[in-house]
Amino acid sequence: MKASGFVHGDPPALDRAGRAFLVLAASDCELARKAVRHWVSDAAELGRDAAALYDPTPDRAAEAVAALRAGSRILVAGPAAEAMAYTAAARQAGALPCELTTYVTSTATLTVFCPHCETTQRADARPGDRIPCAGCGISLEIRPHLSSHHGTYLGAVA
Amino acid sequence: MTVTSDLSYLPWPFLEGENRFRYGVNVEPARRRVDTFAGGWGEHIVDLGPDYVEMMALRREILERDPHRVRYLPHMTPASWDLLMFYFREMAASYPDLMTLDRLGSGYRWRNEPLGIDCTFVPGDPETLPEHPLVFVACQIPDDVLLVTERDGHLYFDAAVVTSSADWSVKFDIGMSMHEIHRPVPGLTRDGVTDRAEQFLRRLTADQPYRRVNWTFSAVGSRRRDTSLETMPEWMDDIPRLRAEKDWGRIQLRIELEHLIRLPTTGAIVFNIRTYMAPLAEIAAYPQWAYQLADIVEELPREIAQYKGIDEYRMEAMAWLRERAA
Repeated sequence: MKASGFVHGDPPALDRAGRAFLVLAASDCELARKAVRHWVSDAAELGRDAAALYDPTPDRAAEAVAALRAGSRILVAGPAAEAMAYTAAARQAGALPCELTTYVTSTATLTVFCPHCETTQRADARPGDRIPCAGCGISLEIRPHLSSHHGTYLGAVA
Repeated sequence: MTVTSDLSYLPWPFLEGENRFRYGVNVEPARRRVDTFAGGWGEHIVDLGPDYVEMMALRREILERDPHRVRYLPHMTPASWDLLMFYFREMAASYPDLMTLDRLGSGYRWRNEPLGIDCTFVPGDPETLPEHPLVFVACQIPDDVLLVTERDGHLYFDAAVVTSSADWSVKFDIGMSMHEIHRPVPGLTRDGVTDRAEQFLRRLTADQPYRRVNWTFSAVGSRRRDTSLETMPEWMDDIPRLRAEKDWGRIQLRIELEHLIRLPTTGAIVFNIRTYMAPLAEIAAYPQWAYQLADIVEELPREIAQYKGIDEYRMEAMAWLRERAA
């Protein structure tokens, strides 16, 4: 199954079965902008509509996803933290994994959830690293467990 | 708050004669009594147990401190009503002297004598309950409540009230697919167990509830069931202390009795978990159990023993158990 649908490396191709496309992307990333240009021109070739939203807030992304009809496909592009956030917003708005493709352009920054105080923070870190929680100050070990619903990795007291 | 110890109603997780363990989807029809060396279990879907009132007070206490142990996605309110009706009917049938559900006009009258509840409500009308139906029913059954629903052929964890999880966080896991949730369990997805479990759940029908017994070792050397990730800073130092003191009798076999039920109206799937604790000191009083547990734990492949949290001291602890049982 497409459990989380996170794609690294080359930008994934457009799902040609899609009837319309919504693109959510980070603007300050050249790889993401390039992927968006490709997707939009591929959609045009297929005679399908494609709308691109740059740097949407989670609410704006969710609103755009909620307005889609059946048959639409959502494409996400950006560094891990942004890509995970847009993916989570789409999932929480009801998008299915099979309707979502997430292109992760870099993994230098990720998002971690602290279950002890419920703070979600960004960190320049990898699973296995330790970071101080920005909420409660506890030393968190970043576990490899990833939620595509929240778009975060799990932290736990080290 | 103390919780009564009593192995007489413990769902012992191994069959007579079994002496090794591997992961599997060991399901069987629910509502069947099993006799054990210490007593028996399994006649009803809900096991109130001798400490029902204390357990329910403890759940309220935990939810008051940490209300986000209740999690539900926006579409889960109808399934919560479905869950409430299923469990009220079930408990009224299992414990007619303690609980009753009677039709009253367009609604029902529900009485739960041990908890002092006597109320009327109309299913689907939130104004007729003091709180969300998921919370109202979860605070009357000793199980952790988990609901999953299907989308595009896969199951998602969409609603829960969890106050006794073993080293996981309901706040983190909510909304995830079964595959995502089980990725940290060694070999489970690789060996196809997650796929088979998901297939099984998808094929459940409303006429036949199933159950499954799961086991591990608790991350604490006491009967505390709430070893959630949320509270890990409170309990993480206990096992190192137990090991330093070689206080092996305090080690707790943690048994989780899961009930797998397709709800009749919404089709949502219940994955409820009732947790039992059995300290080695008490298991030793039943030599057949003690020797069987020692055989199984000593033989476990390392990665399973590590996941169950006992790898580094299992030989010493099991030697103690054998000696104590002799």
